[in-house]
Amino acid sequence: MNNHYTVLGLYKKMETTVNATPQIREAFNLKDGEIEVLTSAAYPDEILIEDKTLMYQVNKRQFLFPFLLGIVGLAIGILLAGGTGWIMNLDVGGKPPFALPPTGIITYEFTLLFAVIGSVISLLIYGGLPNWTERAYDPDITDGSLGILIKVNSNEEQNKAADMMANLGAYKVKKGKNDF
Amino acid sequence: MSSNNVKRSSDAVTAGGHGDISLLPELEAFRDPKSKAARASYDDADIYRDEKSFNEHTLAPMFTTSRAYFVFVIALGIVIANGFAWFVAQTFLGMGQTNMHEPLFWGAYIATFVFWVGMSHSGTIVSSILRLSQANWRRPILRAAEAMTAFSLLVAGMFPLVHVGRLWRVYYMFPLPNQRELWPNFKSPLMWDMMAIGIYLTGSMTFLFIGLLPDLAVARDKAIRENNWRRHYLSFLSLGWRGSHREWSVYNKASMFLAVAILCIAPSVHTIVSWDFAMTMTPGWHTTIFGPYFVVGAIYSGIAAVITLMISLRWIFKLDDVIRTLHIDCLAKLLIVIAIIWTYFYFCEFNVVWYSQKPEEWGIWEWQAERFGSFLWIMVGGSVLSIFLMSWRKIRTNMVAMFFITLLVNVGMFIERYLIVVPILSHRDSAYMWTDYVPSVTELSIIVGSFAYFVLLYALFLKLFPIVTMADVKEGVIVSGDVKLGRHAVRMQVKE
Repeated sequence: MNNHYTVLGLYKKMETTVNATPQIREAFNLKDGEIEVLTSAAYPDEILIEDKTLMYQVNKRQFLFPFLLGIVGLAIGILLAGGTGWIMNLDVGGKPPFALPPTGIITYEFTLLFAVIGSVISLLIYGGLPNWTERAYDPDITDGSLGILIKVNSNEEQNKAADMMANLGAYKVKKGKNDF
Repeated sequence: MSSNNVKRSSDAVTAGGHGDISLLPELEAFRDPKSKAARASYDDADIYRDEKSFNEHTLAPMFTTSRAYFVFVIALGIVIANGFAWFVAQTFLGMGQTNMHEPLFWGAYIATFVFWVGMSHSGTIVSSILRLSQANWRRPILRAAEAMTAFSLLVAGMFPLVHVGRLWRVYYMFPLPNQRELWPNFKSPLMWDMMAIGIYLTGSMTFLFIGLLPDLAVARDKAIRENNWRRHYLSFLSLGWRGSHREWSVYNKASMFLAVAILCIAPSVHTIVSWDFAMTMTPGWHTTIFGPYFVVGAIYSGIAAVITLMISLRWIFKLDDVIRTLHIDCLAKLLIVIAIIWTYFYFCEFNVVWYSQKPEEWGIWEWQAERFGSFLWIMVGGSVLSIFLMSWRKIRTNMVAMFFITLLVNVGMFIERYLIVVPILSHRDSAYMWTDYVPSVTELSIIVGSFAYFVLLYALFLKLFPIVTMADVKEGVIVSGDVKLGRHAVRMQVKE
């Protein structure tokens, strides 16, 4: 959807939000990625969005980066500690050029370092961060309000959705364009 | 209880969190954050009237600055400038400015380095363990502990540079080919140490930053609303966080993964620091117990430092309804356990040497007792006394007592590091080499400067970032509710 319209409804209570979400979703036939709930704290997954098929896939893939980068770290550790000793051997107390304990220590540290970097990269990629562009948002959310944010195709649908959100208990409704 | 079992019907469990906490009448007493009940409470919901006031309250240390703060920061700046001046003098005039001499070339700098690395340990370890075990009381204190780790490591990382003297040759430690056509020797524990500390610092900073993300967004919104100068960096650092379901979901997974990774890195770091000593053939250092002994010692001094910091934050920023008696009580219990393990290790080390009376090792203990007897008593006595005193709940919940006990623990642990380094090196090999060592003014000034540097980093952090882990507290409130069991109202928490 190149051009889309957004509606953000702000709710005071969790119950109201939980009741409104499936109704809005159904009324506008919203697919995953077209509806979001914005909160100031982490709610258990199934509380706010019942259908979490997409979220589940994202979570499964989230560990791919730490895993792959961990393997890269492992290789770097072996090359750095073992390879250096192999190519430019310094005799330390008669230890072999490729000594397992020092190589193991450096490899362990590098594996974890790269896994940490990988977890940050996956957080950024799968979390859609950073994103400093103007997006549908309201500072009331960090003060405890819950926001239902949806993406629709036309101005007409946008107005309809805004009315529906207000009827379902939203105390504030904001409309925007291309800012999902 | 799985979150699948959360009942949405209004008659089962009162609604959790987010602006609509409804407490049973029996728990109403807790609603007053200044009440004794609230301060001793096990539940963060009791400080949480509504989210807006909670945000205001916990962000107050960041957004309101008294004149005393500036005076304090300037005073710290003077102490740091003094230390830096002595450091510059040492760099230009040489290591002769210190009192280190043959055979003692590791002195107060290395002792202080080990002390700061040790201090760094508890913050992230405690944070990771409490996160992974879902200990509910952890929530408000994580950030303060994690920040301590990051800043302790920054200070620790400074000491190898101070210690080597010729700063311009520091790049010899980096894994880069250089004009000697030699790469660093990875068979040296010093290289392991440098790698481990660098990686731990990176991991701790990452852990701290990722944990900060949602709270940065809260602070950003407040700064934008108030047109505060902080809005610029907060907008940038919060990475455009909106609190979407997708962001939270990914964030929670990443936090858990980082907690596990940090838990794997931290013990390895202090073990490697211990190997700086243990891998040498020096009597008194060459012992297998050094790895775990160092790790336990590090956690011991770290937890004590966390308690000292928490109490200071309570006093200075009037956060006693956020950092409650409960937190100090729980941390003190943890400290008792670690203190017992540390004392046990220390006794094991002593007992083996005492029984064998091996001259080169027993000689060091005798030398220690003779030359550093009072230090030994402060160190061992401090530990035993702290265990004894903290056995009473009255003491554990007395902030003044706990402040001084934890301070005593860390004085003891600083002495311990000093006694590991100095007596052993000043009593090496033949008797004609035995020497006395007292740190010079240069060394003392730099060490005092390092303490001021740590406090300054922490003080600046308090003014730039939220010190309370707000998102965690809010999450705790959301997943808790009041259930009536018999005649009593009990706060229950859903755990996934």
